[in-house]
Parts: sequence; C-alpha cells; structure tokens
Amino acid sequence: MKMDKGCLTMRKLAFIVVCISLLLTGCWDYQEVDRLAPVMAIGIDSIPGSKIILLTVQIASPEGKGGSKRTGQQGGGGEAYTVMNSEGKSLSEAIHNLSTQSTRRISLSHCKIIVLGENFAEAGIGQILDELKRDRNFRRTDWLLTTDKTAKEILEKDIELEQVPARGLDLILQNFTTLGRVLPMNLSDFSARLNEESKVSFSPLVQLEDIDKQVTSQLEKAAGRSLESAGRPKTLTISKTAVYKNLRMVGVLNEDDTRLHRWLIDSPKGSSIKFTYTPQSPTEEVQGEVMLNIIDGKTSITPQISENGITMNIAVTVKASLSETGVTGVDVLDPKVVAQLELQAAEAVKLQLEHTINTAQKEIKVDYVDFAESLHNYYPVEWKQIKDNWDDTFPTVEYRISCDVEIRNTGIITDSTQQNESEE
Amino acid sequence: MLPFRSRKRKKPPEPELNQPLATEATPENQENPSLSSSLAENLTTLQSVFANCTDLVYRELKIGQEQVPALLLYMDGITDEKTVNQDILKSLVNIRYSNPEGSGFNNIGMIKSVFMEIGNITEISTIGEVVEGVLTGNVALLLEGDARVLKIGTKAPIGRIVSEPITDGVVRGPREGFTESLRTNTTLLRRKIKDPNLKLEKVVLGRTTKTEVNIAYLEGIANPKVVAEVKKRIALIDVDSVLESAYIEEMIEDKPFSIFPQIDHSERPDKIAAGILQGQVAIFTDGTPFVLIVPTMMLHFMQSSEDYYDRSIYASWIRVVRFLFLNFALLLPALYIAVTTFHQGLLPTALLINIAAARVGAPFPTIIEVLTMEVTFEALREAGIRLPKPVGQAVSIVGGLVIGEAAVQAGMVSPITVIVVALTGISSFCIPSYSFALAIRILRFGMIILASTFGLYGMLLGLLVMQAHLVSLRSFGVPYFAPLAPFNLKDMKDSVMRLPWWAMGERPRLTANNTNNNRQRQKFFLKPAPPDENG
Repeated sequence: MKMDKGCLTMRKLAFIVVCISLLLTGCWDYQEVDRLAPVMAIGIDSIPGSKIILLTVQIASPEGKGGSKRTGQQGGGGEAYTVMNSEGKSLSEAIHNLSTQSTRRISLSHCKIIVLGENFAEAGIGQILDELKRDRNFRRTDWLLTTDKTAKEILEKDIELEQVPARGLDLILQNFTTLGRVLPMNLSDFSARLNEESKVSFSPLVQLEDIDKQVTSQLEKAAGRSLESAGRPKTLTISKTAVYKNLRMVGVLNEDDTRLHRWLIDSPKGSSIKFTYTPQSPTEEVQGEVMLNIIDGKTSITPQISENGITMNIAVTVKASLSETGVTGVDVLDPKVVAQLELQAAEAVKLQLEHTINTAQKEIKVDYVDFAESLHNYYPVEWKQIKDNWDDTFPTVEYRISCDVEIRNTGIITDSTQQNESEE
Repeated sequence: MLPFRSRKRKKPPEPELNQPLATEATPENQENPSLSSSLAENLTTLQSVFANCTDLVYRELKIGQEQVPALLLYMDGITDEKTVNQDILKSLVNIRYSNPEGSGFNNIGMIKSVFMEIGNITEISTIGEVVEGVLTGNVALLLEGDARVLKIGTKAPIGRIVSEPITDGVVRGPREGFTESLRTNTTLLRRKIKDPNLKLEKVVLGRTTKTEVNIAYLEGIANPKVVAEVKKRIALIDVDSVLESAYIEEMIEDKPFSIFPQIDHSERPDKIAAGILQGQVAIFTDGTPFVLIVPTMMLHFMQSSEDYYDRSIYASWIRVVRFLFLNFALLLPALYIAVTTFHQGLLPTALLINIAAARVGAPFPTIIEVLTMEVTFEALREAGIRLPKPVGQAVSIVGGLVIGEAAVQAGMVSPITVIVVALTGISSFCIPSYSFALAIRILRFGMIILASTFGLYGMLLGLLVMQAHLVSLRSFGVPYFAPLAPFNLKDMKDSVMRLPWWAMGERPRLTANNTNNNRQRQKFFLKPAPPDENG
C-alpha cells in the first residue's frame, strides 16, 4: 500500500495547522477569568397572565471588590455587584438575552441562589424547574428561595456585612442546615420532594422587612416621643416557609409553624422550646417563661391502619438543656422540679405540633408533613388504594402525638441573682 | 494514524567497534611491537612516541658493578617524585653494593624480585604497555640487554582533600564526599564496606583520555545478570574521551531519548554504599566525584540519603511532602491556567472574584503571563548558578524584587501568577535529584501548553502519556516505576514511606540477587522492646 506523497504532505500540513491553531488560540471555551460575569443569584418573576419570564441576575463585579491591589487603577470605588434584567419566553432565552447588555460572558456556574417571585411561584414553576435541572451550570446544591414580593426587589437589596448579597443569603441558608428554624431547600431536595407521593414541596420564604422601623416605632410608643433614627434600609429575612403543591405555591407557613414543620420533617435538633412554667403546688406563685435549647432530638412518624381509619403516631424525643428560666424561685437542682419542667415542656411541644398539623389539615389542606410518604413506606399495598384520593383523605387523618423531653443540663447557676433582687 | 505512518523503519545499527577512530596515531592500536633488547633502540622508539612531551623525564643511569646502562622513564607530576628519588633510584644504586657475585643483576626479574623496594611492580614487554604505564603515572625501568620492562607503580596522590559534597546536602549524616580521584573514592567505599565480596573491576575507557573506570558491586548480593549487563554495555563504549561519568551514563542508558533520567548519580559515599548493599552496581569514573549507580528506579530520585538517618516517622512524612511538591512542581502552573481559563466553576466563588479582581486590566492572557514568569524564573536560576558568588546575590535581589514586584506594579502580570510561579519554583527544589528536577522542569512547560489548549482534559491526557511512558521504562532490566508498578508490597517498605530499620529485614526484590535466596539482610524481629519487668 503505497501512500501518495502529496497526500502525505497535505496530511502533515493539516496536522500542523490543527496543532498550531489549538496551541495559539486554545479550545473553544477558553475564557479569561476577568472576562467573565459571574452570576451569583438569579431571580425569576412573571406578570400574571403572561408567559414572559422576567429575569434578574446579580453579578459580582471584581472591580468593586474592596478595590483592586493594582496601583494606577481605580482604587476601591464601585459596587461589589451589579444587577441586570432581561426577559424571555423561557429561562434560557432570558439568560441569552442578557448578552445584549453584558460586555462579559455570563457565567452561571457560581450561582448559588435562585429566588422565585410570588406571582411566578403561584403561576407554576414547572417550566423553569426542568431547565434548572437540565442546565449543567445550575448545581443541584443551589438554594431555592421563594419570596412574597418580586425577586427583583430581593436581589437589589444589600445585606449587612456582606459585599455581595447572594453570598449573604447563601451563608444564612448554610447556617440553617445545621441549626435553625427554617429548613433550607436546595434544588435537588426540592425536586425530589415534588416527585414523592404527595407531590408537595416547600422552600424558605425570603422577605423584606423594615426591622429598623418596627423597632423604632415600638420604642417611640413606649417613650411617647419621636426618636431620632438613622433610617436604615429594609432587611432581608428568612423565617417562613412557602409550600408548593403540584409545582404551584399554595400557602405560607408562619414562623412557629415553620419551626415545628422542621421538627416533623427533619429533626428538632438545634431548635428550642419555649413555654410557661406553672408549678404544681399552688403555694408557690412563681410562673414564667422557660426556654430549653434542644441538643439532640428525633421525630418519627409511624402510620397505623385499622378499621377506624388511618392514625399517625408521631413520637418526638428531645434532649435539651435549660437555657433560661425567667422564673424566680425555681429550684432546678430539685429532681421533682426538673421532672415537672420536662412534663410541661412535652405538653407545650404537643400543643405546638398539633397546631402545625391542624394548619396543614384544615387551612392549607396540603400534606407537607410527610404523612403520605410514611404511609407509602409502611403500607405500600394499602397506599395504592389511598393514593388516588389522598388529597381528600388527608384532612381527616387522625394523629397521636407522644413527646418525651429530657433535660440533660440545667447548669450550675441557681437563681441567686433573682433571689437577691426579690429580697431587696 | 498520521504520526505512525511517517515513522521510518530503522535499520539495526551495525557494530562498528573495529573501525578505526581519528586518533589512530597512538601506537597502542597499531600492531603492538615488542621491545627490543637494545636500550638505544627502545629509547629511539619511545622518543618518537613521546615527541614534544616536555613533562616526560628520561633518567639514564648505569647500575651494578658492571655499569649496565638503564633508563627510568616517567611523567613528571603524575608520579610521586619522592618515591622515584628515595626508593627506586636508591634501590638501583644499591645493586652495586649488595651483589658481589655480579652476574644476575642485569636481569629484570632479578631486580624485581630482589632489589626493588616497591610494592606495585609488574613486568611488561611491549611498547604499548610502556606508553600506557608511563601515561597513567608509573615509572618504567628499561635495561640494556633485556626485552622486558619493569612497570613500577608510583602514582602521585593529587587532587583535593575529601570535603563535604555540594549536592545531596543533608542535615544529619556523613559529611564526606567523593573527590576527583578514583582511588580516593574507592577507598571511601572500602572503608564503609569491609567485605572481600565487594568487587571493584577495572575498565579503561577513552582512547585518548584512558580514563579508569571501576565497576563496584557486592558479589552474591548484586544480581549477576545486571553486573554482566553493565560490563557488557561498558565494554561496547569506544570513544576517545571520558571526562565525566555523564559520558558513560548517556552511552549505557536504556532509552536515550526519554526525558527521565534512568541512572542515578551521587557524590555521597554513604549513598553509593547503601545502593551497593542493596544489590545495585556502582560505576566509579576517574576525574569526577559523581558515581553512577544502576539499576535506578524512579523512586530513587525522590529519596535523599538523609531519609535513612532520620527517624522513620519523620522520614516518611518528609517523603510525603516531597511527593506533594513534586506534583506541585509539575502541575501547579498548568492547574492554575486550566482552572482559571476553562473551569472557573471549580474555583471557590470568593477565590474566583479575587483572581478576577487581580487580573482586572491585565494586558496578556494568563498563559502568556505564566510562560513569561516561568521563563524568567528559569533564567534567574540559570544565572544564579553561573554567576560568581558575589554577583549572584545581586541577581537574586534584582530578580526577586524587580521582576516580581515591579512586574505586578506595572500591571504586566497579576500577583497571583507570581505566587503560582514562586510556589512552583520552591516546589521544584524539593526534589532531591537535580537531574530528575530538570526533567520535571521541562515537562512542566508541556503541561502548561496542554492546559492552555485543552484545560484539565489536556492535563489528564498529558499525565496519561507520561504515566504510560514511565511504566514502560526499564533500567537494566528493572521496571522504572517499581515497586509501584509492578506493585510489590514488600518493596513498598522503602518507597513513599520508609519503615524503621528493624523492619527492613529483606533487601529489595528487584535490585538484589534473586537466585540464591539471600535476600535477608538482617535478623528478623529486631524491634526493640524493654525487658519484661516480671522477668
């Protein structure tokens, strides 16, 4: 087999040309890091009745980052982030449309926060959820947030102590993973829950609150005069939970329900119990707020199907430490008193849990407390029959709560200061 | 397909050992004429051989009562003048008084066995031998009426004293190093291994330089196949000069075009002794303190002799650090380029913003920045070695301050590039072997180019090719990447980690002789333990 000499030279030439062109220019996705616009958060809004998606992106800007170290360049001015808006029929179209105004390539790989505006969440998020899962630039660990305002308002707000607000939101949610009241939801968990039997999911609700104004007005009321106030801007807070059913936002849990909801779904760990202590013997007249910090805890939901219908057995065990008594004359070294505290704490937990489940059954009428999932796990055969009209069955499901609180640590402080105060 | 097609079929090289070299004029290679019994004739012949050699001394004398003419022939400077004057001349003069019967003294054999007060004497009978003997520092004694010549060994001990080696520095360990004198070097070795099984075989290489080369090995422990292979490869060398052991190294390597060094060298007697004790073969070359040691595995280049003198825990940790920084030296700039120009998603967000902030307004792409700084660093390093010591310091100040700081100040390069290049520079000094570090230095540039072309994918391809090449290499029949591939658990005791000496019961499998089961080098169960108090 003899090779044509001219052909060989042509091949060699082609080989060299490919080599050189690769070596000189690099591969197609070569991009210098300073020519990137790293998107830190995206927000999605829509107008009711319209299919158009309004996209808000928060882009970190390196130039504003505390001033570059380079001398002879601008020294430190500028915002640490910029916000851009675009619109499109779909999420990817809206992202593509950003390039009409951005001098740098939009890079989504550092986006950690996805904020869904209220209107959009209520209209249904199925359209973008698919894109978020499909696009490799969005990570499964990205946090999903819902807001009761528009996403644009949220992403334009600064967060104290953080240069880029998206990073602040990320840190808040990271703290929530270990302790806290709100159960943070990432993209993966969120869509996994939507695929479960009940088709219910939830995400933390981010709100804009004028805490400064609230505190000032309360103080003004107390003082009876107008206070001088620096008038700080509104603050982003995350303390409630938005509930989704069939890809639509159907309701919002308030702070207490959010906390107890996390107890049911996740664990009570890192939360706290607050209740009013009333001593047994009527001779003592002390009464006051007691606070327990939960060190460790576990919640289990066990369904039971009998002739009477479905009963859910909810067992909560909590190990807690005494954080504040707020009561004078409580002798926390007395085992009897501790036992009383434990009993009353368990009772308080029971009441709170009942309230949360009642909200689910009576108000929102959506099974966000995982009853369906545990039924499916324990009674897979029966579940197939219940499944179809679960939405109607759920509000009627009976439940039984048993709660066991153990106070592990009362501290070695007796209520000496308060004793002294009362004596004086 | 294409690169394979263009490969030419090579002809096996013809052995051309018998072909004459350019320096054919030396009489050794002509038909070697025997000496005649006439002194005058011999003198003429030798004078024509040594024409214009001012350092050659002809000392004519008459010995014995019969006044037989004799000639002492030696090179000034390389013979020991004291021995010539005090021992040889005196012995010859004394013949007159000590042999009254007077008939047998004009016999070379008689002088050798009765009169000469010198240890190292041989009888020779050809012109070539005389010439070679004289050139290597012996004294030749020619006698009228005898066709034999006495070669009297009087080599002068020239050369520097034994001093601390410049390379292979250690904190703890012997401070002596080899010198340029072969005999001094072998002496240093003999003082460490007092065993008749330590064999030193002499080979003379170089038609013009006549460099003496000694092959040292421990009989019964070195693999005889390796010893035979070393001798065979050295015997094939036919050059006119061997000035350094590198001449030999390049001619006995397994893969001459591999980027990796396949033969280790050292100027530390303890390192060479340790190698010989585990079955390696050392090649001493006259005129250089660097002794070759074969077979060499890649891991040997990552080991310092100090590893064996520190406690094993520290030594193992240091080795782990060394391997970490070996990877840094090879990959760090490439990784930096790949991650910042292709895989920005891999960077922590805060770092991404910092790097971007540092690069704002940078005029050149990252690859150019890194290449510029790397090349500058190479230049600084080269300049640091070549420049005289007082100037060297100035260079390091100019290099460090001006190039680093000023380039950043002027906005030519970003500060992070400087950090990366500096860290890489430091890392490459963590590799104990200079020649291995050189290989890594060159490969680093390849990695940089691959990373700037294909990102991490390119780097992985590069590493894959490199790894395939590493495992395909062999040094005198021993796999280069052993004991990692092929894996050998027992040999792993002295690889990335070093076990304590009491656990080193066996010599390494691959270097030591495997035929007669003598791999054990010490008693087993030597782990120290305090005596049981209960008795």
